[in-house]
Amino acid sequence: MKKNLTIHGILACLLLLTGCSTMKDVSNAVTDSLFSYEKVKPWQKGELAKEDMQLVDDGVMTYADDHIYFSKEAATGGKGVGGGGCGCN
Amino acid sequence: MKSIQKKLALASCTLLSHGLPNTVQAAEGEDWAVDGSLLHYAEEDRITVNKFIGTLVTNVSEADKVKVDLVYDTMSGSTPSGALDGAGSFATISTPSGAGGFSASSGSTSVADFEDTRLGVSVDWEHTKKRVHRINYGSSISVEKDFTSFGLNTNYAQDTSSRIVTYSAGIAATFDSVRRSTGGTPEPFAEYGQGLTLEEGARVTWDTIFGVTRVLNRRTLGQINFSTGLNDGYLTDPYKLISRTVLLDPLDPSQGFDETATYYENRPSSRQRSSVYMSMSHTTRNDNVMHLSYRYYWDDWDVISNTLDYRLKFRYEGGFFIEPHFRYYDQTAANFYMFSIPQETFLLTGFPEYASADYRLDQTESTTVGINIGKTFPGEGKLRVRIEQVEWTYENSLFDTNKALVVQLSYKKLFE
Repeated sequence: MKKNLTIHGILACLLLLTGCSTMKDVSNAVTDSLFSYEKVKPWQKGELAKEDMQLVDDGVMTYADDHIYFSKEAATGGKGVGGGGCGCN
Repeated sequence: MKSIQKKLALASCTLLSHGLPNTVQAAEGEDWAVDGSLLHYAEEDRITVNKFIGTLVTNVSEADKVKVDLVYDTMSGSTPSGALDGAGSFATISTPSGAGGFSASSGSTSVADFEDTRLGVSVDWEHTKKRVHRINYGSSISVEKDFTSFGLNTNYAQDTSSRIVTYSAGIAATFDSVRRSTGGTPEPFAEYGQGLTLEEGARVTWDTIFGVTRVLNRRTLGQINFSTGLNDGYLTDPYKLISRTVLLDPLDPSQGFDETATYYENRPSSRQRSSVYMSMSHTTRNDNVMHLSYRYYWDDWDVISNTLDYRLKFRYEGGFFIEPHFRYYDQTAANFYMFSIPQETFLLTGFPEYASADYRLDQTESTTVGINIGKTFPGEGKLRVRIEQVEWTYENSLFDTNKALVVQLSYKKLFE
């Protein structure tokens, strides 16, 4: 029951965070191109080259989040290896 | 012309830089990039952390980049110790003024005062060979009053000839020393404030990662990583406690319990951890950028966890952007997590092999809601500020919720 409430909470938050127009955007993305494969030529990589599109697009924000969650939760890692240790967990 | 060449070079290099978060990120074709950040983290009635993060990236040659990270934290407040607040008769740890670390709070064993600073430095060097091979060497050191860490890592990434797919692999070794602020570590299951003080704890952590990053189409990148690692050595928290309790009415547990003793916790000396992490970035038709990731984690302490992270960056004219963020996290409890050691069990079989009442090993759910607002100055830098609220809910712990406010101000400056 608690799990179901959480999942519903997640969906509600996603709707609130993104707004209807964005949901349409996301919907289009999912159905149109998010999972579609395309042979991309070098000159078609302009959008992919932008900093915003990097999978880690803000290093200091990611670093801070990793530290916060590492200190408060049992699960960690997944994005990479290395970096400084911390006595907080 | 030079600018176009740089952008093309960046477009080529960007693929390479996706696979390994720890690798030196492209400095946007510029010679230098400096990113500075101030973070304030405040829990309700608990811990406050102020953090400075500084990052410098520079191209030392056509094929080599160096990245230096500096982190300085000040931490203070109080944190649950794992003990139950039922008896005020236990001796408190006396901490020399200004010595940092933990001490019992106001005569209560359930919350420990906390004060410390942390300085961390890491250096990474990345070398690119024949445009499709990239190797990264990194080292790091982190020092606190009661903790020291030293790490080495290396990562390798290779593009396919079409440069549509990047394969990557990495390995890291971290060597930690753990001690209390007053020195040494407590004897496992010693009664609180008594027992032997052992030498400082040492542990080694080995981590490996294997990843594939793929261009799915001209607006979407996808990545999947498999990570596995091993912690070996002293994994107990030298400050954490666990209580022994007796039911007030054995026939009616709802009547509550009484705390009969408090002990230092004891954890296993190894931990095998693994995870699968999937990440995706996508530019939508409206020129917004979506980041979506999911991690499935498991370890041999029986902790299983799901993490979902979602961000959507709305980009506006003039370089302004607004980026809502949502994160969901859950975990099962570690197999030796206990609210307390029951008196009945203790009298029959003595101490369990391992036991911890650390709330971070309890069954947990967490949500994060936040927003990141900023402005990009093309070719010059980026300013951003974010505010987030994190909430944790613990299934069994004495303190069953925790809330934190995160405020972070960052500015990135590019130099020719």
